[in-house]
Amino acid sequence: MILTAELKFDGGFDVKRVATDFYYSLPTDADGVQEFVGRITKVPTYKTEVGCLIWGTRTHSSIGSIELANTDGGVTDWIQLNARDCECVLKLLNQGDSYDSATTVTVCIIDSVEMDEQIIRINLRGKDTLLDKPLQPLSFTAAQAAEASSIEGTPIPIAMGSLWQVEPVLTDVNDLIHQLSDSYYSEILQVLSGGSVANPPTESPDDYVLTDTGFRMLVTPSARITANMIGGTRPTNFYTGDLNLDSSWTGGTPTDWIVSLFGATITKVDGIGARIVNAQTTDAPQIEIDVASNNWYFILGEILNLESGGISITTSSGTTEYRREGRFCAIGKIEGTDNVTITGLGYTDLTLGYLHIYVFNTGAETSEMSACMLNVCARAGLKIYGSDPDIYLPSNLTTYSCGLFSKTAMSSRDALQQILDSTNGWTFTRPNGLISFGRYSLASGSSVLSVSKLNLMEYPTYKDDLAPGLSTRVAGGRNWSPYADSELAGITYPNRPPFMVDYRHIRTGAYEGTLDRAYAHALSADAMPTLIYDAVDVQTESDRISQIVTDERGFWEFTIALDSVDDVADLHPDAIVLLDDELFGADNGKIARIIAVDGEYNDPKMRITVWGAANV
Amino acid sequence: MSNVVISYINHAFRSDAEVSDIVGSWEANAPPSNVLTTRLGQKAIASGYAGHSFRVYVSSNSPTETAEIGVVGILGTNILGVDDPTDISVDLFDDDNNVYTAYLNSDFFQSAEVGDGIFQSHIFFVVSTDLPLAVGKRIVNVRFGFSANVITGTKDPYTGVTSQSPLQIGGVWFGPAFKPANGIGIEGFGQSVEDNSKVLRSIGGQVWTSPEIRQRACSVEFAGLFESEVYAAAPEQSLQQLAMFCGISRPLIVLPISNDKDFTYLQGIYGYMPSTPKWQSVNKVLDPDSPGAKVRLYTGSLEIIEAR
Repeated sequence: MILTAELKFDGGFDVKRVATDFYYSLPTDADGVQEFVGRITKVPTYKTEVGCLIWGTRTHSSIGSIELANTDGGVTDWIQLNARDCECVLKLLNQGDSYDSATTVTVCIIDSVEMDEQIIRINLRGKDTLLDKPLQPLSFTAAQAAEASSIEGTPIPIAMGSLWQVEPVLTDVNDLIHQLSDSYYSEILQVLSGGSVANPPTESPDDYVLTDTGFRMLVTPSARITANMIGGTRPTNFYTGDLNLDSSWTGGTPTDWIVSLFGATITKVDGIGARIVNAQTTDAPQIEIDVASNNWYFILGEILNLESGGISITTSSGTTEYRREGRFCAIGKIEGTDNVTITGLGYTDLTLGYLHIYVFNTGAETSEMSACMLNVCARAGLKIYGSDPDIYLPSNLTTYSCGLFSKTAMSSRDALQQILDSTNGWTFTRPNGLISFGRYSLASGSSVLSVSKLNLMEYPTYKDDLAPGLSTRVAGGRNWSPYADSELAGITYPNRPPFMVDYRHIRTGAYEGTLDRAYAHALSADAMPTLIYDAVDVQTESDRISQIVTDERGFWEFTIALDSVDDVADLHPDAIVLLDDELFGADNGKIARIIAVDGEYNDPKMRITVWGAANV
Repeated sequence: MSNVVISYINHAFRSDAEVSDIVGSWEANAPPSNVLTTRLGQKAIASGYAGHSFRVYVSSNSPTETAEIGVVGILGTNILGVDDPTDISVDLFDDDNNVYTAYLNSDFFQSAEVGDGIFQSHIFFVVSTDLPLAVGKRIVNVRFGFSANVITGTKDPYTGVTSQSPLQIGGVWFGPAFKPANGIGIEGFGQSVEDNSKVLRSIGGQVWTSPEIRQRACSVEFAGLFESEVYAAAPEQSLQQLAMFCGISRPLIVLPISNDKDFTYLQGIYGYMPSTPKWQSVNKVLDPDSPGAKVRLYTGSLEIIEAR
């Protein structure tokens, strides 16, 4: 088979096509006959291994590099191309096959381009690395810190989901304004002052009033302030007029959008997006959408091929400028008759790759954990809805109540992992390029591969799952800012513990009494920490984990021969395999979950690690 | 009489070669100029099934820049057959614009067999010494023509059923021929196939394969080369020149002459040498052209592996 690589340099403006052999796509393919130059001398490797708290490991993945023959100097100029974070699509096909129908074996990201003697090396990495961005890129400016100078330069807090005892940021020491989040919150359940409950606005006299992002104390608190709250959770798909500026955009003004050129131009760039050119000193054009007021919105997009200038995003919350290439996420509230407005700055020449607008869901969440994950992904600039999303969130991952609060610098990846740790979960990128999620759970469903002597290249090896991070207890209901005993003078002693503990709910799994002997250490281990909010959900998770370890679990590792090299697209973490040979001993005839894959593209063998063989 | 033709200089691969006089539609990303590269995988692809042609000029049509043309080739094609021998034509133009046309059955040319669609498919024309080229005239450009009746596509190796697809050409060749008088011995033409496929065996003995490209290979043994055939200076063709010009980095063609009854059906190979050829002198023998005199003979060998 031929391995083809489509390298979308400069955000897709300069697409280079190479392959292990010369290949020409068909006239009937979407892009017609395209030449893939047969320069690839070394195909990339791939390796993904998911991890979780119970195993004491973290997910790690790597994609190798493509090496191109450059003996003729024909690709030397590639080292000058704008490559970082651009997309690369690898497919496997035969001569004469349709490119559009060929199997995609990975959609990944270009990390860098190197030249080494007569070779050009394209270094690749997984698409999940797009999560390696700050969860909160904004910090308090000098103006915002005018009444509380110590907060200048610190990250603006983020609150999502259900939270106990978060300590807000005091942004005005005179007016006692406290900020809980950078955006929408659903409800403040209680404001605590050293454990004493402040009177809410619905009572008289009230001790505080609500603001868009927190509250203002009307009385000077006698102790440290914390709040129990429900933050903004799920951003939902709002845009009826989809400015999803890829090949699905037919050009022109989508429904509900208002475009005023004011002397600038917007030109469709096929397969990429909308090019904005403004040769004037004044800002233009203006692209706005009339959205419902009194709502908070995410405005996501990607700037490509930035020749000059930039754009600004304006909501009622203010205006933010973006003058660099890459993905962005702006958050703001719309009030009154204001619109979400995107404006080209003076002397601008750039292309918008996509533009999505999501609204914060103001309704109750049945799955806050999923909602928080979507919130984090959107903040990283990932498209979470639409015709070309970046993520795939399994619907059955979890339905737990959950919350995340952050006042410190943290990456989106770390935030996502904190949420996933609550159910011993992981994230990885599927071969089709979708960032996906899974968790520590027994295999179920149909298998994609049957493993036996027919396709085993060597005898499988087995290792016990020692589960070093396992505990029979799960901790939830995290107090994000516990009180010290000395801060709770206003509360009688017997009532203080809930305000002082790190976790309000610690629950023991229902199957504690029937643990497999291999996991006896879990009986005395520290409770596994989670961000689960509700006690019932904590119990559910604890029961779930303890049930799994009533039998000893283990890891099978083996190398198989692939029926076809493009089968690699079906064999990824979380896929299910059937262990169908007596070589697997008691696990023969059971299904197991893939947790690691290791191989080389276009190579007919693959090393796989599976876990948790369970009856079909 | 030589039973093998070797050609190692291809004017179409020169840096000043260009394609013009293009007739018919060609894919924008697979234009006729692709035939000027050494990589036969980089193809010129026609769009549609009408007649197509193009002409390859060298050095702005300057007659002083070309050498004799001994071999003309159409390389790496998907041509499966023709309705009429005139469906494929090769026109050689001299510097007076006189044209010498070859068809598959032309009196001037001895054609090798058309490929069967499984191997690399080439069409070769070996220019005979009877080419009525005027004194002092040289071939300066070559036009390759394909009528709408040329059958192109792929052929199922099991059923022979063809799937039509437009004309594809990987390269063209026109250059001098090296035809050692004593040719190669019958035992001196070894052939094989190199296979890049991957074969795995499971512990249960099952064989798993990942088929890849197969390439023909051949080894050539020269039983008796005259000294002039080893050491002649340019523009004459010789084994030393072949070694110096090609090395392991330039392609060459090895073409058994198919009307030699001693050979079964053979197909010329376009490829590269994995190592440079070797030769050594042997005892002197009587010179057939000079009674009483002796000449030195050489034996030599080279290997070639098909390139794509």
